[in-house]
Amino acid sequence: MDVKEKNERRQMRRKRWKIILIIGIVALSVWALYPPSEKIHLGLDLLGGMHLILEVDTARLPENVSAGEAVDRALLVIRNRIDQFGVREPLIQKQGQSWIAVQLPGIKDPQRAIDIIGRTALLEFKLVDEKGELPSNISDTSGLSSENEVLYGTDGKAYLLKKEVLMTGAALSLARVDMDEYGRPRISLEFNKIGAGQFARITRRHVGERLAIILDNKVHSAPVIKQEITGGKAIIEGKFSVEEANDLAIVLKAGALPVPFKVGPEGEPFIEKRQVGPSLGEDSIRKGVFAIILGLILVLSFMFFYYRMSGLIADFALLLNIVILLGALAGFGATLTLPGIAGIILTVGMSVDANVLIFERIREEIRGGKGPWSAIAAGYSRAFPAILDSNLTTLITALLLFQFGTGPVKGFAVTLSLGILISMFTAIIVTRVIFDESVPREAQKLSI
Amino acid sequence: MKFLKKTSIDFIGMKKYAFGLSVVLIIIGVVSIIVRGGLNLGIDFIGGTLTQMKIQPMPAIEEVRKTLIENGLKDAQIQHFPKENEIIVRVKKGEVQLVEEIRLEILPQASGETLVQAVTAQIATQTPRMGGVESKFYEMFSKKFPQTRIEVTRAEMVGPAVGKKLLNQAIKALFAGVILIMVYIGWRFEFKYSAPAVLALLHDTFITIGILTLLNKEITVTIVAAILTLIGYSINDTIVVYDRIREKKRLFAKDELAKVMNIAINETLSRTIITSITTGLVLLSIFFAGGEVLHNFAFTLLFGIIIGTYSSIFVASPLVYELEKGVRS
Repeated sequence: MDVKEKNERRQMRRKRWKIILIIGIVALSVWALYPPSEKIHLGLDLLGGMHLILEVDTARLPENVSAGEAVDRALLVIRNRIDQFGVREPLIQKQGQSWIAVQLPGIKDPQRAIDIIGRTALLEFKLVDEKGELPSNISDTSGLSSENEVLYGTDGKAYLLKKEVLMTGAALSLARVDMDEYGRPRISLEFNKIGAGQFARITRRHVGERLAIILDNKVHSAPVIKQEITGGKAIIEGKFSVEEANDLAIVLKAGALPVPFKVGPEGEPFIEKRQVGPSLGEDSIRKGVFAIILGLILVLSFMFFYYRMSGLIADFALLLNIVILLGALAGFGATLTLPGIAGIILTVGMSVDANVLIFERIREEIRGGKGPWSAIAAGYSRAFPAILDSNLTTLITALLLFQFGTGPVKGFAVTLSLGILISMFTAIIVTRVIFDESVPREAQKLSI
Repeated sequence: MKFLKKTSIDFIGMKKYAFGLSVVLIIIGVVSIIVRGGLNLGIDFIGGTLTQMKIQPMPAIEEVRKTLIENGLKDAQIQHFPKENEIIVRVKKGEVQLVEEIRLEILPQASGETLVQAVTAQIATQTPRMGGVESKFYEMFSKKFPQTRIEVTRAEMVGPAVGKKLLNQAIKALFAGVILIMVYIGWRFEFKYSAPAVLALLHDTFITIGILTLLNKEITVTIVAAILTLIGYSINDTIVVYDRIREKKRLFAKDELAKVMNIAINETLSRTIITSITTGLVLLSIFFAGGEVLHNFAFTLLFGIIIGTYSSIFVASPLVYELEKGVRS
């Protein structure tokens, strides 16, 4: 076997691998994308919904509470509340030192959400009714005696409670996690003066019963009262993990010491609010999709008219680019925003740049007297440095956009960066494979 | 198909005119910023509120403006979209206090009677109830124009602290972008190339902001995104030309620099134009069909690719030429 033959074999093998890679990536994208209505997450600006930023007012915190602690507590309280009204994909995040960002996509009644989020946390202690029985149909509360109510625990379990509020968070002065002598986490409580008296009375009367700890109508724990507790200090023991114990302590503190939020210009407890109605969202999607299709048709036809068959190859690569881009968005669970749609459209315009660079170079090489086959090879290798450098610098700016941006702008940065990266694959590797497959070595003419 | 035959334009020879044009554009920018008393920063950056409403049938826009003035909002900006029957009302930071006043004015009425509450509750099941400024607008307009159906489609409120943070981030992002690009070009080419490239970028950014100010367009987060994208696009063009200069330089003697540059620019000219066309085509489709939110974004980028293309050819490369010449003499 001579060297030439060996080389050819190696190239054949490499080409085969490339084809398998291309088919694999496309198949993966389609799989990640299907069905699109479920796999593509839409941002608030497209779906409608509400975005809020709350700022913990550190100046109004008691001296012994750090800002970080207060933010953690506020996060838990807000999460707890939002769980109650079943938004599909709420996002509740700490931002910087003292900000909390809340995103509620597709919310129908924004004012109710604002009311619920902005309210002070309510911590109550009620007894579990051990004698009564939960109604067989829990949602049907008509059979319940007027002294009882049904509330749910954080685990979704239903509790039959006595309605009477025995104590509120106002009675608590301290809640913290510590360890017993065996190193098991437990929660220490301290009550203030009034609270200590109340707690002594309750525990004396109800030894053996369970006392439910309820934050905003959700039962977080229901420890059994073991004995009368005087002196205003109590301990909740149980098979807690450290995390569970921490969460419960935060719940108790949240109720005892509500976290103050800064009041924004509208007199409501947040410093930023963005709200988009569902009709505007639908409108944006319709217009955005129309603009994508229009832009795509324009670019596809332009490339065909200008570069003929080679233009069609670039068009094919461009369509693959969009499929892979959408697949990647779905696969990474990224959120598609209106500026994100703009990023896709811009990708359509800019990603053909790589092919334009290559094709112009091939034309030059043909003008310089090369045959199609070697002109293609030279075109690809000579255009490559320019494509690499220009795309990497664009990527630098896109990454900065991601760093700088808030939600929607981030969406733009994500689609643009992905689009650029994917275009390096589709516009260089995919088109090259097609040229290699369709242009024989001895070809005399090239449609470009 | 081909737009351009082989060209041999003396771009470097035109540098005097080009620099002159750039200076004129920059002066226009400076003057319009001075005349307008600074940039027209949107509520994203200085805080305020934005309310978008669909009003059917839409009353005369003068009536809307009058209603706002009657309620103490004389500086509120109204943007009208007759086709969609929509208006956007922007109230900036300084005027938020007035918004407070409206609150006080309307609130007692709304909460006074039980009957009123029952009616509002009924409406709430049909159209989402909203709080804050938008509900004030809702009440203000439905009182003034009882025959209309009003729907608040978008409501934004940005506190001044958030705005300031965003503005800081935007400025940082622009500077970080410029520095990173400078380092990258210095590494891939020569440092002689990076300063002109970055100057060209600042030139594009400044002229674009100047034109936006001249046309009294608001600088929003989306516009900053457009400017960063334009930086990416412009540097893209510049690098394609630089790459060709890098390639051709090896073939020519040192003193033929102007010739090398002209060849490089001419040879990449058709690519520069075609990429501008494809990008321009998609931007035009966003501009005309992409809806209100993306309209100004597309406008900024459309202008940006023109100025970016111009600067890659007429600013970035001639500046490299000047630097090289300066170094040698």
